[in-house]
Amino acid sequence: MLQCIFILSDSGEVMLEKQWMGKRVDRSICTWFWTQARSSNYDEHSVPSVLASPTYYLMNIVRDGITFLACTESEMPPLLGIEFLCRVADVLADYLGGINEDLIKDNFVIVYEVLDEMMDGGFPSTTEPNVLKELIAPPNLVSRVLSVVTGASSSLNNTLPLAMGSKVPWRGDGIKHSNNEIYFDLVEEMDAVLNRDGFLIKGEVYGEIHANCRLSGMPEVSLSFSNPAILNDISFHPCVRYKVWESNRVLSFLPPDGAFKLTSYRVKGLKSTPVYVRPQLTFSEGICHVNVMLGIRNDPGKPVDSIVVQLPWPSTITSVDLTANHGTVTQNHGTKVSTWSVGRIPRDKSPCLTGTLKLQPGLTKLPHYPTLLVGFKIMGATLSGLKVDKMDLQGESYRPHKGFRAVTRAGNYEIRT
Amino acid sequence: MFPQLASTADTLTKVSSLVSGVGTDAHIYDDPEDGNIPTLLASKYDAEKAQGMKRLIALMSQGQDVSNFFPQVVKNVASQSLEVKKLVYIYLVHYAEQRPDEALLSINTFQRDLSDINPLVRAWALRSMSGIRVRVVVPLVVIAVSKCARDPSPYVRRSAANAILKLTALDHELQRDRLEELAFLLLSDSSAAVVGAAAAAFMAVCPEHLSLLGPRFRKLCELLSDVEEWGQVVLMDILIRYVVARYGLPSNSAALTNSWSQWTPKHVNLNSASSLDKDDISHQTFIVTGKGADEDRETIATQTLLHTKYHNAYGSNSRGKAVADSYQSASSEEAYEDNRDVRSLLQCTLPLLSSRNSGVVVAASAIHWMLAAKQEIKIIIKPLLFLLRSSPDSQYVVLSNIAMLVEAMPDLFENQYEDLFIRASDADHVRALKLDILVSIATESSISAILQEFQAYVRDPNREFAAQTVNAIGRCALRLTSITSDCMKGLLMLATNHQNNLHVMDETNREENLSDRYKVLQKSSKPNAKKGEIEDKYSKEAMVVTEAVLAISAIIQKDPVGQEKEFAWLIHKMDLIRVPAARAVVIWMVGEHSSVGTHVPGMVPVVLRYLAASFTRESDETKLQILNTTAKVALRSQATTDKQLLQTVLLVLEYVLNLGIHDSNYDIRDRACMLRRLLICLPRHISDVDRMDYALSLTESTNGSVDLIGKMSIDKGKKTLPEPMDTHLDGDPYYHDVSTYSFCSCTGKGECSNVLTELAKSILLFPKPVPVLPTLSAVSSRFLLGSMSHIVQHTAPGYRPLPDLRSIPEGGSSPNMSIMDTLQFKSASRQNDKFAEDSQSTSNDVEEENSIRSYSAESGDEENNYRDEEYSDGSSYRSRSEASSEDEPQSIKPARRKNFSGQSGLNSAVTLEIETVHIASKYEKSSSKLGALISLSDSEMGISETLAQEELSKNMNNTSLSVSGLTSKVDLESWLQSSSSNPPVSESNLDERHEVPSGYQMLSVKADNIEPKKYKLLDFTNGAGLEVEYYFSRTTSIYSQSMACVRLLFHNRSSETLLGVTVMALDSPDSVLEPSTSNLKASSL
Repeated sequence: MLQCIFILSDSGEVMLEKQWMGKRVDRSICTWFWTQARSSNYDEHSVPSVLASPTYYLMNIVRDGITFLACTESEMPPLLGIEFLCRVADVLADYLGGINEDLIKDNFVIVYEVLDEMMDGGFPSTTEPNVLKELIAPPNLVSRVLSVVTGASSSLNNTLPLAMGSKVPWRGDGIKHSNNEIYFDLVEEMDAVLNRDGFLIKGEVYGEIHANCRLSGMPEVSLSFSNPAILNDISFHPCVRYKVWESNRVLSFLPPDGAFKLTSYRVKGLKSTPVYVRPQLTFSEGICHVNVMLGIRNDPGKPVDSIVVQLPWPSTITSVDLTANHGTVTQNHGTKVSTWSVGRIPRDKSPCLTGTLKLQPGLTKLPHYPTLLVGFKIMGATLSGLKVDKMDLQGESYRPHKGFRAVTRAGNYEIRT
Repeated sequence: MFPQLASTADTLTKVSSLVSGVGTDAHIYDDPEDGNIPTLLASKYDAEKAQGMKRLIALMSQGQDVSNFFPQVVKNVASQSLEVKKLVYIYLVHYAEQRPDEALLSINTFQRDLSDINPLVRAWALRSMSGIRVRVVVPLVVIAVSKCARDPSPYVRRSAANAILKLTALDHELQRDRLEELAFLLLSDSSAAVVGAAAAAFMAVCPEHLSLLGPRFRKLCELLSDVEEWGQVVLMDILIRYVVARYGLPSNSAALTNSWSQWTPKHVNLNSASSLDKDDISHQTFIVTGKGADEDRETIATQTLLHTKYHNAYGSNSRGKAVADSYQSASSEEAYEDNRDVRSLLQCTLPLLSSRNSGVVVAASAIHWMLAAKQEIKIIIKPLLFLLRSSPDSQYVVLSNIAMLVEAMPDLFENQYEDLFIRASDADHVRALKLDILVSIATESSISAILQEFQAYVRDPNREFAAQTVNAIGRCALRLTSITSDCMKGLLMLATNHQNNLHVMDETNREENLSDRYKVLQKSSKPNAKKGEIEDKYSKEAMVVTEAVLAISAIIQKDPVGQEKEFAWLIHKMDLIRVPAARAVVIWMVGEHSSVGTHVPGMVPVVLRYLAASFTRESDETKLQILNTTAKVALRSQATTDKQLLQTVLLVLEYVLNLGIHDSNYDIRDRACMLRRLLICLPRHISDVDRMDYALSLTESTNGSVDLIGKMSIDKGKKTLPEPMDTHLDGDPYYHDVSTYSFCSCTGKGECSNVLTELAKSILLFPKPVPVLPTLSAVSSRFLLGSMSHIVQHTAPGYRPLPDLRSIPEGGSSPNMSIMDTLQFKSASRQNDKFAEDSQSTSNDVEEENSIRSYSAESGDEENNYRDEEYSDGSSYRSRSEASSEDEPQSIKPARRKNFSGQSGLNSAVTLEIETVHIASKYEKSSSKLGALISLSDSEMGISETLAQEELSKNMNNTSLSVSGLTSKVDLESWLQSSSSNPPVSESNLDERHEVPSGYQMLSVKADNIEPKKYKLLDFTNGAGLEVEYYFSRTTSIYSQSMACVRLLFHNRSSETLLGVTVMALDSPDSVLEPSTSNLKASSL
């Protein structure tokens, strides 16, 4: 089981360590890890998530530049460690409103308390965010001001969370809200790979349904879709009843209190993309002429926002000179990535990026070609076409407020040249 | 809430940080020593105490050692404020191990807190108390755990389960029986929240007592979906182990037919176990296997055919038909029951396949993989592939598990290739895995899509990745014959077409390439960024070309005749390939396939002449291959009738060998000399040739080649010629040497040269197997799905293979056998405790020890009472089994212990333990005693060890002691103070009592999870694969004055068997600790 966890800043500094069991793990392991992470074997800080150091097995994840590193000396399911680290990162992001070096240092006491509660004896214990929040109050301005005024700064609750006593580990008995409400967010990510001819090789949508539930008592919620057949893969929060889904294709669950991720799903075999990007590279005498056209192909019905195109040039290019008729172009000279921020596509003109690249002397054309990455955001539309049919509530007499939102983003949206 | 504000706090001025950081602990982390910590800690206000504690913890997290505040902190443990309490706990647990004495001061408060009305306080107290890693308090903690295990609050009960984990990590053997009891109690808990943690505790304490689960099995299956996800992972592991141990694996299980190695080492364990207790009937449970892994496979293979549904044990040889028959008869009536348990497990894990937690999905997949019928396994495909998208952080681990499944069953994922296409965001190690999997699952129908994708990858700016893709294309071409020609075309283009840019790089790097050493020096001394970049680029580009040529060579070798046209084309374009490694491969191919087909033989002489002419400008690698190739062609052309050809070839050979002999590189000189001697019979023909003719023809031939290939200026060709000719005429030592030899061989006539020619032929021209293109990531299915060992590809400490198939008795649900085991174990450990007490009675800290012992005795009693209450049925078993354990013949016990240690083994390294360094001389005189000084203990037994053990026993003991006799006697003697030279194994009760604990003590050290500090005696790089480590064990030696006991650990890290390992003591010249030699077979490490 896990022996300890280190939280490393983006410069490799150990910000926090929490030991759980066994011999104390010395900090020097972090130095070893950091040299591995920075070594040339793995470019761009992408070490394998599981590493065997001479003394320990290390599992790591990176979130917003912050490395979460866990060590163990003996056999354990590595995914247990990795998933736990992900959970720690999620919980901390939830508590602190994001993850960065300052936030963690500013709230180190909370982080310690949370870590102490999340794992005991090397085995994860309380990891449900809403239960944790009952144990340890998240820092917020009100409590901070209060603590300054009154001098009492405890973030710890001195009563056991309700869920601990109940039969359902994620929901306690006797929860009361004055306004009964439940909101669902459909967040979809479009993954697409287009080849150099503009032909869609792979198009699929990965989606998650986030719920924010503030309902009293023990409500039985069921959520049904008008077209559940399009879902290829699906995974659930533990509260979802698998059997009901298998037989009726209805999500039936007893929701945890607060925000949680209800399901994630995937819809495969999409035939169209909302945005087209057409790059053209022509060569003459050691100079590469770039021309990238961009536009809406199949109108999703809602405006496509915050369009960004990333152009990572190969290292054989010595200089880049690009201009756009709409939006801004920025260069990162270290990584040779050009970023074209388009924003929303204007009505009157079609955005176009033009310019030249200078190749290394001696080259007549690019030996290999970059893959463009596209980002965008569409509010209020699901590209998968998934539609929520209705939401029912049983077991309680009140009528809750309910709401649905949808947003689609670009996931791995790649255009090969 | 206001991340924007909070995040900028650091960069803004102090004023603004005051505003945004109101109430946060930012200032504390940044400036922890601001303020007098001792004063704060001694304050009577909780807020100030908390302030002080926060500062301490800030210092702690910055890596400073603040353990000197321990006394002040301990005082605050009694604080009523929850926050102070929590902070103190965090601090205490962190430093208690360093300050054990002061930590004891806090115990009273903890014990008081354990009775608090607030379950939170109770749980925290237990959590912190068990986190204090001080041995002395262990008995107290165990009492606290047993109290909390019956607490009304599930939160506290879960803390109790976690406390067991911590205690086990501290010392695996301390109060073990008690902890086993508690773990099992918690596993029977009604709350799902507790069961998860209890499962982890159970696995830590007594993973070998799977049979205890029998009555609980169904209930646990049903609870599975309610248990929190972390518990699910561990619980599934327990359940699958139980099913395997109870029912074995289904005959049509995919895991069974494919990945043997998962358990083959284990069988052999049983081998030795069974040889130890031939007479023990009750050991029938441990099914005996044959002489080795191979036989096992056969057995399984035949049995798979024989039995329809479930395959019966690994039986039918050695231990005989009787066992197998008994199972056979049992299997028919048990099939139903069997099905129900297995089916309920499969049913209950089905929902978990759609868990949000990747660990759960993989664990559930592992169960289906092993237990489900082949046609039903398909349900695990989609969930696993979905994980690649839904949990990106787990991608690497999930992929390597998929790779293992694919290796065993390639058709499982054959239609899902699109999911494994590489994304731009994938890291290198993920890409390599994906490529490997794609190659394995490619079929005739999917290959075109996959190849198209590969073509895109080859254009990727990441050239290492492109090279890997080329390797993958090559492997696809080798696997699927229908696409070979298409792939071949693509590869040929790649190999030759890259020159556009390579050419440039080539010229800039050519000069540096002249001398490798020079280049290296330059690189290390002057890290010229620009040049380094180019060189890097160059080498990466070269990788692509080399991979392409390697793939081509593999394809050509597989079918030289069919690929002749492509080969000929490649030879034509040879000059486009400038990368030395790739060029060497092409030249090697010329030598290998010089006589194949119709076009190639005609080209070969021309090529050879060309190569000879350009020899001096080639790189070392290619020079070697030119020498080889010329020699090969010369040998082959001996048989031809074409005088012209023969003469050309011989001339070239002579020329090239001469050049080689004078090369600056010693490798090339050596190679040339060797070939000259080897081909001694060939130059004879040339001796007739006029010197002038020779030179002329050589010039001609060179010029001819120049004309033909048209790549070289005539001037250059001429320039190269005179030099070697001069040296030749000067009469250099090499040449004279050779000519004398050739003279000898001429006079010897026949035999010698014939033999040499034959020798040369068999050395140079033997048929080479088709090379296997290496996979990009080493994946083998030696380990269980989802285990750490699988990811790191070596046996991690604590890794347990599946239990032996059907090692839990068939009859009934009452686990008679295992309770006996348990109890014997317990009685042993109790005796052990007593014995330890006796033996250490002289030591100083015995008082402390004594207190523990007495405690353990107490708790033991308590537990007995408790057990009598709880298991009224169990008590009868207990008394019976205790009686039987008393009566059991001595020889059984070591065997039992073996079994335990095998299951709780830490690693698979062969471990010999040699006790004592200083030995009284009297012990060294009789040879039978010498053996007795060596005690064997095994962390995990494998074939190697069994062999080594037998070997040892033979060598050490001339007397015909069986291995079991040896072990027991050794233990006995090393522990008995008696120095009598004739120690017959006495059967008296006293002796028996002493014998058990001693053996157990040996085991206890090995099974320990805490690694003692090891010192390296011999590194395996120096020791030819043998690694020797030593450490001071906690046991006292009775043979030395200093009572120090040293253990030597031998690891065989090489792939070969080590013979004749001898250990000698240097300080006393006549004392050889172990006069015997032992053979260490290659271990699996």
